[in-house]
Amino acid sequence: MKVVAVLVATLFLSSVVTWLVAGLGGQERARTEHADLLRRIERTREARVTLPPVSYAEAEALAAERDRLDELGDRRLALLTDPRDAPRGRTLGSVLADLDLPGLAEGAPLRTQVEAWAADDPAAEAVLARLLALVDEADVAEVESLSRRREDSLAVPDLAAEAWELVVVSEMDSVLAFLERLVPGHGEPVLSVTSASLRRIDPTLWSTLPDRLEAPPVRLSVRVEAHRVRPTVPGGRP
Amino acid sequence: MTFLGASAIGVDVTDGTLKAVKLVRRGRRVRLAASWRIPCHRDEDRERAALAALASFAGSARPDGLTSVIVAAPDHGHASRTYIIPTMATERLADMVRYEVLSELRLAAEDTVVRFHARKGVVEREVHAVAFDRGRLDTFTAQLREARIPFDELHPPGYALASFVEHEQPLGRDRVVLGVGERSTELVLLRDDGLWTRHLPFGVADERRPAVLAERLASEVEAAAAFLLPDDTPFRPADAVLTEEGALSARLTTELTRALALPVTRFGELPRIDTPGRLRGSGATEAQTLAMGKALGLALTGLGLARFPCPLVSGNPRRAALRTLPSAAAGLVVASLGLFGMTHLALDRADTLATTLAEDLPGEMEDLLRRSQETRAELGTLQGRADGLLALARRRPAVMAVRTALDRVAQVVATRGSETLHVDSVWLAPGDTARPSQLTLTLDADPGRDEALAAALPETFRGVFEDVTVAGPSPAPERGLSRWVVEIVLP
Repeated sequence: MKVVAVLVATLFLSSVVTWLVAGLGGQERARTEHADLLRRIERTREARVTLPPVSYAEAEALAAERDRLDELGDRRLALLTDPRDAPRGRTLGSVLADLDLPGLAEGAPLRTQVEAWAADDPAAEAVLARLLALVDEADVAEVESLSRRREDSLAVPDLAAEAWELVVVSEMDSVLAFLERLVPGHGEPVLSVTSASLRRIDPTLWSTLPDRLEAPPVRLSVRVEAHRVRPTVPGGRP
Repeated sequence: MTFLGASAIGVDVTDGTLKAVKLVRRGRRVRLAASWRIPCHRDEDRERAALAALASFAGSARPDGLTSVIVAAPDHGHASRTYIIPTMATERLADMVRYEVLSELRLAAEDTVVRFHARKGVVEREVHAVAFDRGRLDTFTAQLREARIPFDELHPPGYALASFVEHEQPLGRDRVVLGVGERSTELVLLRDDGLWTRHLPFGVADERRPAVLAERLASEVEAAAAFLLPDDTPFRPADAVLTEEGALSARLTTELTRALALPVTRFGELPRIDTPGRLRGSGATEAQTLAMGKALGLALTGLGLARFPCPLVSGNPRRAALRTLPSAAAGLVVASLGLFGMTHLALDRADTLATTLAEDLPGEMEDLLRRSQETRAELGTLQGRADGLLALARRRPAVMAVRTALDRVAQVVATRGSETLHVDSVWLAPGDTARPSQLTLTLDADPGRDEALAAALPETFRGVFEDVTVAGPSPAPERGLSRWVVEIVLP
């Protein structure tokens, strides 16, 4: 009986002490927190009046869509600039040396222009080297003209573009072979055709054309865009 | 009484033998837990013998503080009356009863203890009053305390006996109750309108001949009925109940039946008290225990179940306070749990309030709105980027379509024979993000082939290009030829 009484008394005293030490303080803190909560409610109410409706779900959906589009663009860019299918790199000098075209013969005005572009701009040199290498690979008979235009028909943020216009003359097979090499998917620079025109050359004019033609010639006027990936700033976009 | 139940011991030492029983109550059920029977030594002074028996009992039973101990008061020479008194305040009632008793019995107020039990009534109340010798009561009480014999109250043994009989075998009619002990007898007359008791100073030990004892008891009953009961209503008892040592004698029972001309009953069992097979305690057989009417009545009084409670002396406030200890302890435990609970709730509530509604929720809302707007603007740019890269990639199949278209045209040209039919030009306009690629072929042909070409040109591209428009013939720049224009929208 005494033991029970002592235990009960101890339990009661400890509960009283606990209440005095922690319970009263907890009540006071609850009162303070309640006042703070009312203040926060009022602030939030004011914010809801001034701000348009916002949604965490919508924000998350937008972020997810942004990530999806970002990844999609990165995938497409990677496919376009994949270097695995890039042709063997040849310097402009070696290409010009290999080409045996009257228009690009040593001292010809077009060659002089090409060399001036190359000397002025390494990026232009690379594009010219690629274009003329393709001319050589397709066995085009002649390059009648080559001009440079500062145009960008697509304005893709990642890519800096420059347009080149070529007019070549050769047999249909060579012309088509050349045209079909002016497509993306062969690494940088990414080449694409923005317009192309093949024209039949009147037979009466064939005598003015290079002798090496073995089939009726056609004239191809093609506008080519050369795209290069823009250098990126650290941690950011191009 | 505690919330767990209650226990009480009734002790009767008024008729030459100490008889005690312990009853335990749990809810509505009452159980007989133990019984004791200690004969008082006859060679000794009766009072001293009774005290010795009580001391022996206290040492043997060791009643704990939670068990009520109700002891029978020494009722030799007591007086018992029943009055019908108008309903009044308790203090006035007590004064009225005391006045009636003292004046009727012509007793000295300072020498007499007057107590009563009043039955409830709206207009008038039936009051059972007893008068005891104060000196005898005080002496007995002092002797109990001196001998450290624990007790809580003293009650009239006749009232306790009446309570027991009415508890176990309520009749609702006139009744005689005889508690025939060793050396004294308790006589109780029960009627619908009252209760009267008388102490008879003889018992089974004083008259060994049952027939003589029975006659003597019968004459005492008749005398008590004539003396005590009011004349207005005749006393017609339906039966007589026999308890104590006298109930153990079948012969006495028979003789009493004849002498009283009434059926005499004894308790062979207790209808409303659970009796276990084996009883704790000492000195009492089952039959003796069942016959302990006064002790059982006193124990019922301790449990609050007596019909005629009449405390003469309240013994021990300390013991009474001790009996409240379990309830107090339970209350303290509940209070403690309540305080712990309240503390926990207060702290929990404070924590909950602190974490409800972030402090900077408006700032978060603004930030979220800004981020949503920025993201929405960024989406346009990213969509344009993805579309631009796709348009760039689609230029490849557009270029490849030129050879395909020319191959199809070549099949038509091959049928020309000697007539003129040639491709004058091919124009490729690769599309962008807003429009599809388009391929335009211009053919010049001999007008004689117009009809054939009108059918052949659409047919040659069927299954290769879906969207083909053939226009012509129209006059060609080259004189004399028809011009056909085939426009193909590339997918």
